Amino acid sequence: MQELQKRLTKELQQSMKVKIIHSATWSIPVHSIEVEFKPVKRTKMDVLMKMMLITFQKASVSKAEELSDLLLVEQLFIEDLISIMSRTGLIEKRDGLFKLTDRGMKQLENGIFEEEQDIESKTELYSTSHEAFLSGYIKPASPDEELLEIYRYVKDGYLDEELHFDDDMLIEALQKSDTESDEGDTQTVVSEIISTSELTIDDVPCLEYILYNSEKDIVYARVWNTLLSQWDEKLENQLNEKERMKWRELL
Amino acid sequence: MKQEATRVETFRCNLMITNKARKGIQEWSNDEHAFFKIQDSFDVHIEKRPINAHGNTSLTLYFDNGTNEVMAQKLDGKVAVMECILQNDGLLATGFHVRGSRVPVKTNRRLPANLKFVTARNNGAGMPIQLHTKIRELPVAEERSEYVKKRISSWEGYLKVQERNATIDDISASYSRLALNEDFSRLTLIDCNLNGNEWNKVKGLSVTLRGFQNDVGDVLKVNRGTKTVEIELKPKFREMARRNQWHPKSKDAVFSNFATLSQIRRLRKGFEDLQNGLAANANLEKILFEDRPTIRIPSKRAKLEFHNQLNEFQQEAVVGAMSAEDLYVIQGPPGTGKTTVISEICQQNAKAGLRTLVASQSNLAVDNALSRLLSNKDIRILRFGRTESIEEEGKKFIEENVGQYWKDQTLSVLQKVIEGHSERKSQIEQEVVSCEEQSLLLQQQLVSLEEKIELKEAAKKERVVKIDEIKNLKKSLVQLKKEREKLEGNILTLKNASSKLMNEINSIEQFIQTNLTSQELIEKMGQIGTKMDRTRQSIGFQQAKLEIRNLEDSLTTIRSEYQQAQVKKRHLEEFIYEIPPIKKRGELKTRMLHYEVTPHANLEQRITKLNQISDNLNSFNEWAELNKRLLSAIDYMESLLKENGVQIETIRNNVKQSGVVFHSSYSAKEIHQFMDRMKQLLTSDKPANQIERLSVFLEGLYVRRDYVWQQGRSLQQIQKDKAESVTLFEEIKNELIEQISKSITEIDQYRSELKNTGIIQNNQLAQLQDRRESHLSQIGPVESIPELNDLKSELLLKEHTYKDLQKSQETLKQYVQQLEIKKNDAKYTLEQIEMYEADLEEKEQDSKKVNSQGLEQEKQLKAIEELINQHPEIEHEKTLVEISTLSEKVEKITLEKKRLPITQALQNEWFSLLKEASDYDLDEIRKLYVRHANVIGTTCVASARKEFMENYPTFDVVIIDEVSKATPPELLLPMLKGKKIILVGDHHQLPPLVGEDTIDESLQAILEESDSLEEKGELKKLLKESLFERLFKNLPKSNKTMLAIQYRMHESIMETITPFYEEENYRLQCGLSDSDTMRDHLLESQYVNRNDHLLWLDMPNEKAYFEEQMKDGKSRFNQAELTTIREVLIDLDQATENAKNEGRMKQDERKSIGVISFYGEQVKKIDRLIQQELNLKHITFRTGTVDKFQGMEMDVIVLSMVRNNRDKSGDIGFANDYRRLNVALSRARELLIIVGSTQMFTERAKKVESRKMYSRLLGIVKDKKALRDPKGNIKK
Repeated sequence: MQELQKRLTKELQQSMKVKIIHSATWSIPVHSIEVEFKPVKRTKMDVLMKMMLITFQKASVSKAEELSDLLLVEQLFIEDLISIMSRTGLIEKRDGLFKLTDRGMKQLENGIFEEEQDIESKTELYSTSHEAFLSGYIKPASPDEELLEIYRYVKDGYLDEELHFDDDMLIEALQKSDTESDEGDTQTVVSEIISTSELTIDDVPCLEYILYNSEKDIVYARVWNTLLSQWDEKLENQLNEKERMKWRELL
Repeated sequence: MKQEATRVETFRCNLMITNKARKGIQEWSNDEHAFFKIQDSFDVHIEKRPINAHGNTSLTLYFDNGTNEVMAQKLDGKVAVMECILQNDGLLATGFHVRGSRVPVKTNRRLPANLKFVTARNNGAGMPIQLHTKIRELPVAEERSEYVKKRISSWEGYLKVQERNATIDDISASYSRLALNEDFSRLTLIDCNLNGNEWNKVKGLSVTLRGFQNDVGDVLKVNRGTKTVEIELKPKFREMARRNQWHPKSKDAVFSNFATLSQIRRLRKGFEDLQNGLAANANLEKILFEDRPTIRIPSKRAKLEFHNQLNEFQQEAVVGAMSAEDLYVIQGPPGTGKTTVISEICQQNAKAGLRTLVASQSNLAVDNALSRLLSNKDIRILRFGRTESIEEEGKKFIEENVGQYWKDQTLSVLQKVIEGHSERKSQIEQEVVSCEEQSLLLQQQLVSLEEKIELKEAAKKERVVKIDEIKNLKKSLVQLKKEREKLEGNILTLKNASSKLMNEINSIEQFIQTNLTSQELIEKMGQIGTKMDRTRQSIGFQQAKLEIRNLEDSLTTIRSEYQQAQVKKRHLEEFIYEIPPIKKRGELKTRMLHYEVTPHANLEQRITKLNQISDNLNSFNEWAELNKRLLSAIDYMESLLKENGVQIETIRNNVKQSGVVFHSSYSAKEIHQFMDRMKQLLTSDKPANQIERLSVFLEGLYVRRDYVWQQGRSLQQIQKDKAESVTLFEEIKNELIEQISKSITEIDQYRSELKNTGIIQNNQLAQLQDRRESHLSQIGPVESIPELNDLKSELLLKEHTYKDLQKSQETLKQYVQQLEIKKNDAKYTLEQIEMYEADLEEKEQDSKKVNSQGLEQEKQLKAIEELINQHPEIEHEKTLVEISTLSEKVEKITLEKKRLPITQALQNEWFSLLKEASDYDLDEIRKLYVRHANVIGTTCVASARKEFMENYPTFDVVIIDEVSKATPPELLLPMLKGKKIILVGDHHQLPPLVGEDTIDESLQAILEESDSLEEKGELKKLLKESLFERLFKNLPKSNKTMLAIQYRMHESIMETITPFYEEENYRLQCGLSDSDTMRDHLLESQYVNRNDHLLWLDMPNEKAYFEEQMKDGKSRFNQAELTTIREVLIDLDQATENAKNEGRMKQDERKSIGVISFYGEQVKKIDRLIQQELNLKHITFRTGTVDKFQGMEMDVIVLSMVRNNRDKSGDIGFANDYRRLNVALSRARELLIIVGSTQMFTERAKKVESRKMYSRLLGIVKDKKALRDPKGNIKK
């Protein structure tokens, strides 16, 4: 921790014009959330082509235009795919209507086949200060960590606060943490979230620097987020907005 | 596409082969016969080469490697090229070889043809005449290219501007440290060891750091003093910096300009492509280089249905652009809805199945244009370019995102449809019902239309009748009118006559009344008559009296005369008695005088003669006496002289000799005197010369003696008359007696006459006296009778009066008679008038009747004509069509109704499938989308990138936005690709920028450095007019338009820029129906009132307010303006908060304010001010130089003018360019606040035009009472 601080301090002072006018270390609360989800494995098949095959099977379609109206898809796309499917023998016209050939039937069966996978679970990290899921790993606590104050803009009673996120945010977070895979002509995707449960709240240390550039006469904040291992723009902006005037006054 | 669409005719053509050509062919086939049989015919592109040494036309045939599929396969997709010579009986191939697949085949210089080669010997194919003609008409490709090359070289200047610093090699340098700025957007290399002038060169170059693969960004600023280089980082590297991953092992940097160089390369390639005829529109070279762009005038204007709400100018622009063949130019001043027009054109193109390229000089403009296109499934937008340089608005259209974009779009549409599923069923049922109703209605309509058609036919017939009737009515109306006019004329004449009569009657009656009656007249006349008689008597009396007096006088005279005659008679008788005794002449004479007797003429003669005779007798006696004296004197003298010895003879001779001299006449008196003188001499005592003198005297004496003698001789005669005179005297006396006797007799006669007269007159007198008495008795006793003359004039007067009376009496008599007649006449006239008037009334009634009849008929005719003008047939046709459309619709709806459950199920399924679409799915979609993308957006320069060229060689339409911001070479790149080109821009806004300078300024700089005259001329030409301006000015009206209605600015703000557009055909107008409400900034503060939309905070031209210049650059800033801007911004923030609290604005709303300046340094300082010193929670800011702000708009704009000094030069730098000012003033929607010194810009500025320009602006500001001091107080 101290080493990190030393390194960062040095790097921030690369320019002679920049002076650190204040530095601090504090932590932000990060919620570990266990997510249960169901992945499915399916054959790769272009979703539009699949839908067209389904439609040809279930409805009577004689013209590309009809299909375009039904699926609300550009007629040009439909025509393109019809010509591909005709060429590859997936469909043919019978009694003026598009119908699937045997080959087409088989292809469709393959296309819609979904192999359900076992339910998996994964832990995602949510920061109320960011109102977002963060990708990173909670590192082992350093010795003086418990001495750290909590970030000054975290609301009181945050420990009991209810979290606000939806499934889409979760799926996005899951996708980012490589839960989906793609092998050959099959792919595995998250199909639904089964449950979420909050496990722990960890304090993630952050290193705060308030800098003054004398050449440009500007004051700005830098916050190193140890979870993300990068300068945290969100927190920096919060500090800039809330405190910059105060720091300037102290100059 | 167009070229492909026009089918090329196939010609059979004889082909002869030289051995050399055969060799080439044999590399690919056994012989030429086999080779040219692999395809039935070949698509070739024929290029004409210059005539060869033998005078033959040589050609090169390029075989299309796209359409000649079999051949292409055989040649591995390469291009076959055959050299030929044109002969009358066919083509002679002189060479054949195969070139790379990228060799251009189709160009504008080549003739496309489909040829069937006949290679058998002695075939009859020959050379088709049409092909021969076409080849003859083909220009020689080289010559044409040479021409274009020459013309395009005039654009070299633009490239020179970019090349100025570009031809340097890479520069390497090491550094010791690097520092990142506050937001990781910039990196500073510290202790950079660049050499000498390298410091100047690296600016703008891209930077590669050892340890990184790609360049990290471009050099923004260098500072030689502090040895630092500031680099603008690319986004990717900003992220790395945040993660603190900047740990290059060695600290070396390489500066290179490959980006600029590759850009210049692309621009040069554009030149070459145009030269080689590779423009998609063959006409492009003519449009660009000929003074009057040769353009195909659109044959007809497209009829369009618009997707956007467009004003008249926008509609004109869209219709014009769609109708144009080659080129259409749109001038769009700020806020006039250029993007809407572009969007509409893209949509129209999409509907027409055309592919559009939207290009612009900057990425920002491209993204701006694309983001405003309506989302519509017909439009598939694709943004092409380097992802990192594309703005947020354009990102969704880049290739990797279009799958997602398409998914989002489709899902949102699907969702809407699915949400309406339940409604759809009832909707369909309703539609069925309504269709049935409609069908019924249409059937009825059909019937009624058929009736209408019949009616129309009937009406046609009726119309003829009606027209005839109307004609007749009109005729009778005219007739009636004529009659009426005649009657009216008559009445008028009669009325005149009547009134004249009445006048006459009146005057007669008046006369009778005023004058005496006839009786009275007679009496008066009698009176006057009597008076006249009396006067006449008096006159008679007076006359008689006068005559009597005269007569008495005459009698008296006669008596005296009678007495006189008696006296005379007695005298004469006495004389006769006296005469005989008279002896002397004199006595007789005396007596005659005494008795007053005058002798008769005869007698008188005799008396005269007698007198003569007696005179002559007297004179002779005298001369005889003189002679005597002379002779004695001569004797004396002669003797005296003889005594003195003088020769007398000599003297006598002298006298004879000079006889002439002495021959003169003398009077007796003179001779006497002469002798007296002599006597005197003789008696004097002077003997001295006496002798001589005496001789002379003697001579005199001689001469006189001769004369006397002469006289004597003549008088001798008279002596004889002496006797005669006595008898004469006696005769005279007798005669006298006779004469007197006669006179006595005469007197006696006279006396008796007088006696008679006396007797007569006495008688007369007696008569007169009688008369007088008689008159007197008539007159009677009167005191006195007036004088004769008075009486005469009295009588004359009375006679006049009498005559007048007589006349009056006659007149009176006449009048009385006339009066009767006239009265009768008058009565008759009045009767007649009444009659005519009655007639007239009748006719008027008739006319009215006819008129109303006519009107009625015309009304009917109009109705009939309306009926005829209707086109029930067309309606009928239409209805039939409608019925069939409707039945189709019914069929469709019924089908839909039947399929509804399936359809809805399918749509639901599709929705869930699509929602879960994986990356793989989206990738497939992406491919489809890209293949069918019809609106592609990119920057001008990027449109020439290799991969883009390969994917999109041509476009049906190329739209270039912000044209004025691009240089012609940049514009050429997208232009080359368009079959039709639409240019959108505004030459009154800023021209292209090179670094911080405008292209004009850069060209000017090169011009000053240049020493070639030719180059100077070309540069000057480039400076004079931009390509856009030239095209806009020179194109025909059908190919250009100006958008003249702006929607951005409040009217007051717009007024500041209208002067810049004064020369255009249309005045800039404000399209906001109510500027005050639609552009209400809702703010009320110290600086700004609700109704202020334009303010100028006037900075004093005093030292405390002056500009400052950066030590290490030319940029400037102005601290005083910064201070004022700070106050203004705080004030506006407070005002926004108030507006929120008072409910005018929503709590989460923010006012968007742009703070702009002509100077980059000032912008930097403003940025710092906003970020570091102000924490304004109710405002969102955007800052930038005016140049960077072109194309942007904000609610509020604060413009910092910076320049303020008292230098003699009066330079206002960037602010001189009116285009920059135009851009600066036209960014604000609601409120524009100018911060600067009015004195500096309107008085101190060096250039007259600049002073004028700013004075005009100040005038507008003052008009609005919008001039303030830096504290916001109103200034006059």
